[in-house]
Order: sequence, then structure tokens, then C-alpha cells
Amino acid sequence: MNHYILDASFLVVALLKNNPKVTEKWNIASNEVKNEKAILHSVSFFLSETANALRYTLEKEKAIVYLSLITNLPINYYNLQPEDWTVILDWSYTHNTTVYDTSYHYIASLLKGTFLTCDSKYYQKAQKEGFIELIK
Amino acid sequence: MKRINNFIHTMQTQRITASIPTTLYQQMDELVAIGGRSKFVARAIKKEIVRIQTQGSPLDHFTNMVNDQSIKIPNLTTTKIKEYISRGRL
Repeated sequence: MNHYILDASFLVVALLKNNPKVTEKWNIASNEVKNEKAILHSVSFFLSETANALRYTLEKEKAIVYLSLITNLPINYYNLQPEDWTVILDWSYTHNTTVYDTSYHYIASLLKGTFLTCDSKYYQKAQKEGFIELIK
Repeated sequence: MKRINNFIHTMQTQRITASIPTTLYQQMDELVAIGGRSKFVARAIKKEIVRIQTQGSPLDHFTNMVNDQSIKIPNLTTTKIKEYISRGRL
């Protein structure tokens, strides 16, 4: 079973069709989910990040429709525990990254999955931890 | 065969054998004349196909949106999207 951890950048880029490679990766991952070969995961604040991106990108009616498409997706939202945040904070200092971005990556390492991101700056800083794939 | 604007229109058909519950057959028997059953079944199948195609899973809906190139969306760089994700964050 594959575990894909999605951040807001990946889903928003997929939705806005900005990158054919992201579209291709989404099609592969969603097909695996349909065939029960993969599970999608994210963090609890993923929806607030996604909604914020739509807020500044689309007009209201379209943003509401698009957000509902995302909220209905079969994504497991990982509930970070206090002890998780200690590790996330440690990683964020080590790699000079934000705790927000690091949270996704940390969950990927816990699940031995793949963190799918379009954030090349984060990838460059933290790729040595493994469990991450940059789609660009 | 049906004549439309001087053209002969022939609908391709496929004969099928299917089993349905007796009660369902009896209900159809009461409502539909013998000569109209193929049309009735074809309409019912078509209706179900449309229902399935338009009521896909949320995963399908999102995937359809991602792959539908006819929908116009602002063309933004990943850097700009990343900025919008975190804009206003304390």
C-alpha cells in the first residue's frame, strides 16, 4: 500500500492545471486510490492553506465550488500530537524550514510514504530526510 | 428504419439476454406493451448510465476537473501559489 501525503501546493497546482507533471502524478495517485493500492493523507491545516490560496486566486463562486471538490476528497487528516510537534520543530530548525511545511514531511516519514510537493525551496532544504518527491 | 430529411437513418442494435427479478418483469409487463419493451429497457439503461456518469465519486469529480482543459483558470507560477497559501499567516 502506498501512502501519499499531499500539501496545499500540490493540490492547488493540480486544480489550477499549472503543471502537466502534477496532473500526471495526480492521475497516477488517484488511480491507485481507486484500486485500493494507495491512501491519501494530509495535515489538519491543509484545508485552511488551500482555501487561502483559492481566496487570492479565484472569484468567490468558483473558489467555493473548487474548495468543496477538495473537501470531499478521501484524504485522511493526520491529527498531530504534542510529541509530534517537538520533532517537527527540531526538523524545522535543522533544515531552516517552516513548521507548516515540515509537518507534511514529518507525517510522510512516520507513514513511510511519499510527500508530494511542488515547493522546490522546501525540497532543496529537506530532501535528505527522504520520503519526499518534488513535482516540477 | 427512420427517414429523416431524405436520408435513411438506421440505428445499430444489439440483442441481449438478461435475467431480471420476476416481480420487476411483472411490473414492466403491466406497464409496457410487448412491442415497446426494447425501447423501454434501452431508455432505462441509458438513464442509469447517465446517472453513473454524473454521480461519480468525489475522487472522479476532482480528477475530471484537473484534466478538463476547457476550464479557464488563472495561470500562476508555483511561487505565486505558495505565496497565496501562506498569505496573512501570523
